Parts: sequence; structure tokens; C-alpha cells
Amino acid sequence: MQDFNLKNYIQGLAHAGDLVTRKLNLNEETAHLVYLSTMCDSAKIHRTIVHSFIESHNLSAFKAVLKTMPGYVHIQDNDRLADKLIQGYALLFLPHETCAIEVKNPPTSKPQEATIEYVLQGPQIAFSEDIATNIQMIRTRYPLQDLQVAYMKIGTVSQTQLAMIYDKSKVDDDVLLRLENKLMQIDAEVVQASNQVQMLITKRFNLLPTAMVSERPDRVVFNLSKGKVVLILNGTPFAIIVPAVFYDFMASMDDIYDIPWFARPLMILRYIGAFLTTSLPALYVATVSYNPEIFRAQLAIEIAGSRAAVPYPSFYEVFFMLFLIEALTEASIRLPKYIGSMATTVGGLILGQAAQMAGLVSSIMIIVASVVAISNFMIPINTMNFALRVIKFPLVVMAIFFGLTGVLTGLFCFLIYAVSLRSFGRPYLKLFIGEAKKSR
Amino acid sequence: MSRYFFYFVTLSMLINAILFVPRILMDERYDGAILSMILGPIIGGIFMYIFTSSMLKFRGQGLPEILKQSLPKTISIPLLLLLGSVSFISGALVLINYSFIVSRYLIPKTPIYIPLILFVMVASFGALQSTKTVLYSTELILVLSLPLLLFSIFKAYTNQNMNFDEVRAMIDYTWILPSWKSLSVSTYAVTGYISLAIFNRAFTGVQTIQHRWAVPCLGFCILLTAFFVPIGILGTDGVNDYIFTWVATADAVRMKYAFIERVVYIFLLIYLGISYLFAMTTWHVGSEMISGCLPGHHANTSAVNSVLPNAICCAVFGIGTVIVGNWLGEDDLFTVSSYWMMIRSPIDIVIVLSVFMLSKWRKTL
Repeated sequence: MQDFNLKNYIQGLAHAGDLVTRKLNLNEETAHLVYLSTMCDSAKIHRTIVHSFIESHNLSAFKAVLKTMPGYVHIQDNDRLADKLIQGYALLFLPHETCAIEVKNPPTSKPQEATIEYVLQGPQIAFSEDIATNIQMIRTRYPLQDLQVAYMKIGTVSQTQLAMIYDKSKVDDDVLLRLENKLMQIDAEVVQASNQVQMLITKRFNLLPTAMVSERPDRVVFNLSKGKVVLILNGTPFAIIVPAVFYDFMASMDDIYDIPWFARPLMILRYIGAFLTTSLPALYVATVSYNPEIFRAQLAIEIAGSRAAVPYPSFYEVFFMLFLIEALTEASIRLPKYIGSMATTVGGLILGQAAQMAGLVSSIMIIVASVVAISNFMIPINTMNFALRVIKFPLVVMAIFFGLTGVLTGLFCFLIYAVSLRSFGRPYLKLFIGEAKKSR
Repeated sequence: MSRYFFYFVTLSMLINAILFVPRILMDERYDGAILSMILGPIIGGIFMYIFTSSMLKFRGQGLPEILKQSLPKTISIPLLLLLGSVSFISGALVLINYSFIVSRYLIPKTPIYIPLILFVMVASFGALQSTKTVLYSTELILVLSLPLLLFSIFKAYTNQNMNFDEVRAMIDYTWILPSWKSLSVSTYAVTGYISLAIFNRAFTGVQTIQHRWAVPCLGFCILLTAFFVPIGILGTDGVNDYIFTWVATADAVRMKYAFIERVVYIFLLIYLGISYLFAMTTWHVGSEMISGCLPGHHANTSAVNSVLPNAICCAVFGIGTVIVGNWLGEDDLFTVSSYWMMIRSPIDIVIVLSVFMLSKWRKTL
């Protein structure tokens, strides 16, 4: 029998440091076992392949045993051998054929507690970074045979595994078709994050997100039952839900777990928060610099009095405080957890107080800035959170030039823009959706 | 979808009744304005009935498609151009009117063309959206602003300066035959149904529009409020002293315990939104009518597809609006508006009757 030359089969990997080759001899016949030690579970290799090899009397019996193993693949063309190795298969070169057996390491990432979309009393576990674990979680929570899982790979270089999950009996075929088209068109090289996929399947310069990224299995399952499509990307603990309309981003999972008497007011609170976080700085500029007469006299005098020490127009202090708030938010994401709390104390408490004492900003502006920051975090979904953070700046600019008229104009344009968006064919912002679905 | 019909009809009633009608009807208040307010909604309601029933027979078609199918080009294209310009002008008048109000009350000492340019840009931005977007945003913004508007009207009615004796004094002048001017102005208030000429494209699944009787009733109530509340607050003779009657009326109302003490600011801001909406719908209708003249133009209701002709229309009329608005004075505005309404009513009647004839003719085919 001629020498076994591995290079003929796997050129690129032949010199890889973690490549393991074993020669298995049995009755003058030789089989070669090849695998990547970093990708494979060596105990499993021993338990399945080596053990059954030792117990077999000849190669054909061994082959028969191999064929019964889970994860057995018969290799037809030798071109894709290297890919199989990278995916965690062990290759077995038998005298007349080649086969691959999956002996992948079990995923190291475990589901963790939800940290971004926290709910008080509800499911506490978020997705993990492993796609198989996530799909297992969804299948457990949604045990119906209509649940369809389709796998694909996106990213020309990264070849990231993506699963498309939907309930066949409920899904809108039009949405499915649009989504598949979008996924086909993706030509990014490396795809690693759910937010990135979300951006790739929607329009890149959309200000408002039209696909939702969530870490909560319960939200995903709830949306599946409403006929939406879920995408799960390998390597991130986040799922993407399409189509998503404006209201979805304002809804917390608590809303359906609690009784309406406090779920509804909390929802209203969130909308008020969204309004305040976008327009309060602009309203401050407009009322202080343009139309102080809209307030009752005492209030107007109070506001003017608090600005007595401030030497420049109101929009300077607005930009100054907004810069501070945004910088604090950004810094507390980047900083390690323990230093982060110090930064907020220094920035929020001490700096704000000092800025007001020094006469750089008025004390009412400090309240405005903190209301803006706090109400921003009432919005449950992070992408919407970011979008609303951006919108307040154009509104302030409009307020500088046109006062209250400008603020209202800005809000009007923003509403028109939001209404004009479509999420996979669904109107993004539209009143009375339930009724419309029936009449459509 | 049929509820959207009521939104744009209500929208045009609110705009016309509060911005134009009081000033023009006030001049005629001793000469038959009250009877015209009773007759106007009835006449408008009859035409609305005829127009909607005939339009709905052309399922999912706008007026440009209907005219193209059934009339020769030499008639349909001038007609469409005329209708488009009519729609544009009625939106432009509102914008000019409101920029006078804004430059007087909200940003004083600003020359009129600055707010006007802003308004024109916003209205064009809205008008370039797809038909469905225009309908959805009409619903959204009306639902957001109507409660506040109703509240401020309620505050006006229950205001202690509201003197019902003045209103009672006016009732003596009820049975006087109205002039053509006041009749056409009152009819103009319920004329919003004409927008169905374009919005019918989005009304694909609609068989009939229910509760159409509500339109004249609503129109009558709004006209009555728009006419009698200023008289009650400002006085039978006193109303004559104000140009923007309703803004002055709202300014007479105070809310003792609210953050914003003067109702006029709530009123002005709500009306700013409503004026934008009105200009947006009329300009959308106008630009769709005019770009419907182009051969090979396909109506697209859900996505913005070919906006270039629409954008050119909006730009031309927008620049025209700014020039005209800059050149008009405040008192000219109401003379121009009343002449405009007197011309507009016959045009509306022509549209309604021609669509009615076309629908009959189509049936016999």
C-alpha cells in the first residue's frame, strides 16, 4: 500500500500546529484518523472512534459501526475536507473511502442572566453565544411542529452561521420573501454581531431601527407566535426579529406579564419619556430664548432668575450639558464596571453642581439634562434608545433658529419620517394596527 | 381604510373654519352669514355624497387615471393641471396665512418670508411622501392634536368672558338670504372630500364609506363654533377689530392653574401642526394630479418611486408661494382668500359633476 500523504487532501492545513494524525492498524490494513485538537473533544474521539476501532475485528466491521454513529458523513469529493476539519469533524481515511464524524467540542458559552433588557419578574435567562443552544431554548419554549429552522451562512470570509426561524402556519410569506432577498444580497466580508446583521438587512442610513435586536428568549417566542421571523447569528447572544414597528421598541416584556392597571400607565410613562428625551432641550432653548411669555409670569421670572449668572445664550448651556451627559453615558459603557460608578458620581453629582455654582449653566438646565438622561433609559430596546438620543440635536438646532415653531416643525418632520418608513413592507408607525390587519 | 376619509375631511374643515371662515363671515355677519352656515354644509354634503359614491365606483383609481381612460387628452390634461393648481393654491393660502400668524405671535420681528420658506420646505417634504404615508400621518397627528384642540375650545365655551347675550343678539339676523360670497365660503369649509380624487388610490378594499351623514353635521358644528365663540368673547361689534379672529379669541382665554396660562399658545402650536398637515395633503394631491398628466406615470401608493415630477411641482409652487406671500399684506390676504373661495366653489362643482357623469357613463358601457 502506498504511503498516505495528507498534503494531497488538505493543503492549507497540513502544517497546522493543532493538527493530529493517528495511524490505526488492523490486520495489515491501515486507517488514518485526522482532526484538529482545538476544535474537537478528544474524550469523545476516544470513546466513539478509537474504542469501536479496537473492538472491531476487521475494517468492514469498523465501517459498519462508524455508519451508525451520529454525525457520520460520507465524503464524496475531497475538495471540502479542510472545511470539514475546521468545522470540528474528525476525518477517517479508510483504504477505499473517506468519511467524517462530528466530534465537536461542546459549546463553552452558557446562557447567562439577561443584563440589557432586564425585567423584574419574568424569565431571567438570556440567549447564549452558541447557535445550537439558542435554538434548543426556542424549541423548548415553542414546542410546535410548525416551527421551521433554516440555516444559512453569511459573510464571505467569516461564513457565520445564521438560523432563520419562523412559525410556518403564521408567518407572512411576503415578509419571508423580502427577508430572504435581503439576506442573499449581503456581501459583507465579516459578520459578527446581530446589530450588524440588522443594519445589513435594513437600509443603512435609516435613523430609526426597522428590525429589532433582543436578548430575551421570551420576547423571541412571543414574536414567533405573532408570525414574525427570527434570525439567530452564531457567536452573539442576540436574536433579530423582523418585521418590527415603532411600538415594538417601546414595549417591555413586563407589559404582558403584569396586570393592565400598572402595565398601561408604565407604557404611557415610557412614551412621555421618549417625548421628553427628544424634545426637552429644544423646548428649553425655545422657551428661554424665544417665547418666555408662554409660561405664567412667576414661572418665567423663576427661569430667568436661575439664568441670571449665565453669561451666554441658552443654547450654549444646552450644548454644554448635553455634551457632558452624552460623554458620561459613553464613558460608563467603556469603563470597567467598578470605575464606572465612580465616573457617574464625579460627572453627575460633582460636575453638575460645580457647573451651576460657577455660573456656567443654570440650575434648571441641570434638571433638564438629568431628565433627558433618565428618560432616555426608560426605552426598553437599546437601538431605539440610541436613535432617540440622536434626534434631540436637530431639534435643538431648529429651536435656535425658529423657537417653539421650530421645535414643533422638527417633531412634525420626525413623525412624517417615521411614518414613511416601512419594515419589510409593514408600515412602521401607524395608529390602530390591529384593525388595519383585518381590513387589509 | 374608510376612516381615513373622515380624517382629511375633518382636517380641511378645521383649517377653513378657523383660519378663513370667521374673518370673511364676520364681515357679512349682519347680511346672512348665519343662514349661509346652515345652507353651506347641506350643499357641501350633497356634493360630497355624489362625489364619494361616484369615486368609489372606480375602485382604487385616482382622478388622473379616470380622466385619462375616458376623456381625450386635450380635455383631460388641462383639467388635471387646473385641479392640481387649485389644490396647490388652497394649501399655499393656508401656509401664507399661518406664516402671518407665526410672525406676529410666535417669532415676532421676523420678516414673513423666513417662516414661509420653512413652511414651504416642510410641506414639500410631506407632500413628496407616498399616498399611504400621507394618510397615516394625517391620522397620527390629528389623533394626537384633536384632544388638546377640543379642550381649548371647551375652555373657550366655558370661559367667563363668553357672553351668550351677544350670541343671542346675532340670532335676530338668521333669516336673511346670504350672498354668494358667504355661501361659497361656508361651502368651502366642507370641501375636503375633493382630496379623495387622489386618495381613492389607497382605498382599494372600500365598498362604501359609512356614516357620511356625519360630515355635514360636523361641518355645521365647527362652523357654528368658529362663528359664535369669537362673537361671544369679543362682542358683536368688537369682532370686527381683529384680523386673526380666532387667535384673538383664544388669547382671551386663560387657564388659571396650568403650566401654560394662555390658551393661545396651545392653540397656535396645535394649529401649526394642523396647517402643516393640510398643506401636506393638498400639495400631495396637487403634485400627484399634475404629475399624473405625464405619459407613462404610474401611481404608487405605498413607496416613493418617481418623485422627480412631484418634486418639481412642489418646488415651483413653493417658490411661487414665498413670492406671493412676501408681496401680500395682511388685509390683502383675506380679500384674496374670499375671491379665491368664490372661484373655487364652481370648480369643485364642475369636478363633482364631471366625475358623476363619468361614473354613470361607465356603468352603461
